[in-house]
Amino acid sequence: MAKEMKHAFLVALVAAILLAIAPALIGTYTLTLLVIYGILALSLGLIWGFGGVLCFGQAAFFGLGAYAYAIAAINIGESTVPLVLGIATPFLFAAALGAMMFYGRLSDVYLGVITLVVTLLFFRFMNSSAGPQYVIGTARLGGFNGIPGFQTLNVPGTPSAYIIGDAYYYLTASALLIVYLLVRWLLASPFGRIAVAIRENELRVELLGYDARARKTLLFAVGGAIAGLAGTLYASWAEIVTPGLFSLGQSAEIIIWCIVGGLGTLVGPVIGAMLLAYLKFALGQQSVIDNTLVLGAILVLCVLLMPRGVVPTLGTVLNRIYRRPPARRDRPRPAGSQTAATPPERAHV
Amino acid sequence: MSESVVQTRGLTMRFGGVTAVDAVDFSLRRNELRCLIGPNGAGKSTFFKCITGMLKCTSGEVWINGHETTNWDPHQVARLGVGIKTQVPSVLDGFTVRENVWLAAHRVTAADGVASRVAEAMERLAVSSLADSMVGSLSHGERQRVELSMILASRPWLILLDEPAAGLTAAEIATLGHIVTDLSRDAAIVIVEHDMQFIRSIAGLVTVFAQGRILMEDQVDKVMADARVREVYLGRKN
Amino acid sequence: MDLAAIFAVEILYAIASLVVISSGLAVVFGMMRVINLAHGEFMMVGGYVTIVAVRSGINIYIAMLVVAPLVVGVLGVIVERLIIRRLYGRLVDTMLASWGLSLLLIGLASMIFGNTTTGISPPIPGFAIGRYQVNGYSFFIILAAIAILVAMFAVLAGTRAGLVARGAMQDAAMASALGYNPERVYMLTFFAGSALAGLAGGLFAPLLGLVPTIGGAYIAKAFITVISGGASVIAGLVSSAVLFGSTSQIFTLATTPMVGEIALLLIAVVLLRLMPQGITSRFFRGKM
Repeated sequence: MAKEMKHAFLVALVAAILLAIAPALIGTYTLTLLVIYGILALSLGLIWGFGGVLCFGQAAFFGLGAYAYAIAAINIGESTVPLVLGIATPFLFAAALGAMMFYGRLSDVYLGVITLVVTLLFFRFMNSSAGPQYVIGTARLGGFNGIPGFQTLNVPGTPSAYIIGDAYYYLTASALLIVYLLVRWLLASPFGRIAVAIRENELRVELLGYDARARKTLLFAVGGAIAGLAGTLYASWAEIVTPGLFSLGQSAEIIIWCIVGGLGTLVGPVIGAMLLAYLKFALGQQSVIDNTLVLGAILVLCVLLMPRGVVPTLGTVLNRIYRRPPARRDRPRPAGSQTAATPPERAHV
Repeated sequence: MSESVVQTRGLTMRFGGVTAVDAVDFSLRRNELRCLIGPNGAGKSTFFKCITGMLKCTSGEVWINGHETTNWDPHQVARLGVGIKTQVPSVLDGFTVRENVWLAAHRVTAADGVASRVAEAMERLAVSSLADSMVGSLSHGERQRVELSMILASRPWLILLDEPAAGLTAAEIATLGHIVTDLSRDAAIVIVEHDMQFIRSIAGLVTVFAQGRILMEDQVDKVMADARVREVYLGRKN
Repeated sequence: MDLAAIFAVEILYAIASLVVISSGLAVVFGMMRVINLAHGEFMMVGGYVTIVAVRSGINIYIAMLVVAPLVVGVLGVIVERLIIRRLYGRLVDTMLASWGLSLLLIGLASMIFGNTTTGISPPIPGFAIGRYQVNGYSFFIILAAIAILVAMFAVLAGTRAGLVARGAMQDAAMASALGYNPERVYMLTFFAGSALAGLAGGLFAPLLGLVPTIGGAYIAKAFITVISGGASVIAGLVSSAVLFGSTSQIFTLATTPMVGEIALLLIAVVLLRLMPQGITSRFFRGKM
């Protein structure tokens, strides 16, 4: 366990250096968004790559965090409590949703349907909340136009000391590093090992006396909380929250980041998110090729050619070139399995 | 609950119109070694799964060590101190042998004792030399031993084994016989098995299932000599 | 009395639309255990094909009943050969790849047609029941839904091809041992499912303004209807369409369309939670 954490600190150190020199290349405003997406990708990377739970509605927790923050910030003013609510609300919601699904023993397809439907429910509801009757405290939900004009993050205790610009970038970058280290620590702990074991063979773990349902629910909730943190940071960055946060397109993008980055790693999804989000940003600057088309093509090609993700595939290639071949490559897949949902190897990245 | 550690009363399991287990009354004493045999489709594996919680029975009761465990979940049954081995080796292919055994020991052992418990369990099942190999890369027989080692590490007082000899070589079956005898010193064991050679080697009391019911219960040799048992086996197989 | 008639028509129409929207997905999922998340975009393509055909002078009925299904059916075969075929038996991967395909098609459509709304007018005028105005085209959709169900039943139950298809879905090895090529059966099934999606797209083209992203409005409903259906393609489709169509329409009439839609989604969640067994049984049966 100590070895894994040493490795994690090393990764975090390299990442910190990269994040510190990145503003020399890309503006901090754009970078902040990339980092926020990195945190969001990490949340799905955790529950899908390590927990084996494919959630089609990670955007629901992202949007819920953003809305919870915005609504609380309008009502309260100072940003500390809203920040906590922006994390706690999706955590509790994910716990309730997860308990419903896992205690119902739903299989992956139905898990996909339910999470997708729940995301759509939020999307539809928020879109239809334009009327004056949709008010929480003093915050109007605003329907299609969303909620603008709330207090953005401030130095705790001093509402007038906004954290913006470069400072906000360094705040989100630190948040990413801290979340990464916490998740690594969680995975190295007995809870994390058992969570991965449940992904590998749920029945065996149950037969050893562990309650897989409760553990999956908790892991799912932690994923929801991290997505909520990303949503909170996003709200404060964009200074507006809209129903688009709950869109299916948003959910699809998170899944694409993880697939491209590679499942069963944490760094992979983060890199995938930052690269693809930057690509989308760059494509948005031109009008020759539609960026939805590019994202779609990337997803199709990745599923067909590199079901384990780009980062692990590159890692394998590098391993073959520079080192002895990895111990085992072709573990037989369980019948009717989902290759992408159960990555064959664990990597301590 | 007197001295029975496992008891079923009228245990019945129906799948659609088929009654796989038909009102079975079964009882096992502390530290007893018992084999369940019977031709294919006799209901012994279904009976086993009803006891372990992997199937929810249609009616009847299951009692384990004074607790009514009817329709409990497998993890609840396991928490009573019951070690369960499924028909197909159920191990974690993407983990090393040590990690597999650790998983079993972790739940029942204080943090400082886990390592030695794991080492001891691997030693007794002769898988110590494989400690850092991925379980997915091992042979079928080795995987069976890893699974038994996990069961041992979880310190059960009751062990339920579903066809442990299936797919093993003759030499491996002989070793398994020793392992089972060794395990039975500190635990009651129920074994569902096809292999008569193996059952002879471990002796003990035998319960014969036929058509969802218990046909007879006796010592291995008497069972083998019984006309009814021969009829069930031969009548079905040929 | 008039109001009751209107309500009845509206509810029937809601059920019929769900049948039309979901039939293609139901065929592909029920027979091949493949969930095509690009189904909504196949409908979108069907809609654009219809509009382009009508504008180039083709009769509107031929455009939506013949041209759109054929074009989308061929598109489906291409997709099956290039993508789906490589992923059989990997349900989640197929979902992900077809999700990518759906994004790809949206992007393609926005590049070709732009992000503006286009449309054509319904070929059937409205008429009055008492004091109320009824959309005449609603009856056409209801008739189309009935025709689709009858055709599906006839093909599956009454023809050799349907029998072979059902056989291949239940046991591919058995079917190929009998001399049928399961690859071809899959390809034809996917063609049929895609053609139904094209037909649905054509049928709805005159009703809604068409934008490249319209597929998203269809896929969720189709997905839910199909997954929640019973253990069989046709009976499952009809039963869940009736349940979802009538409840959402009743809520819509009582309140707003938005509430109707939210009601549909909530019922789906509850249904899946209560009856995961009844629904999963679909995986093990190849009935109609």
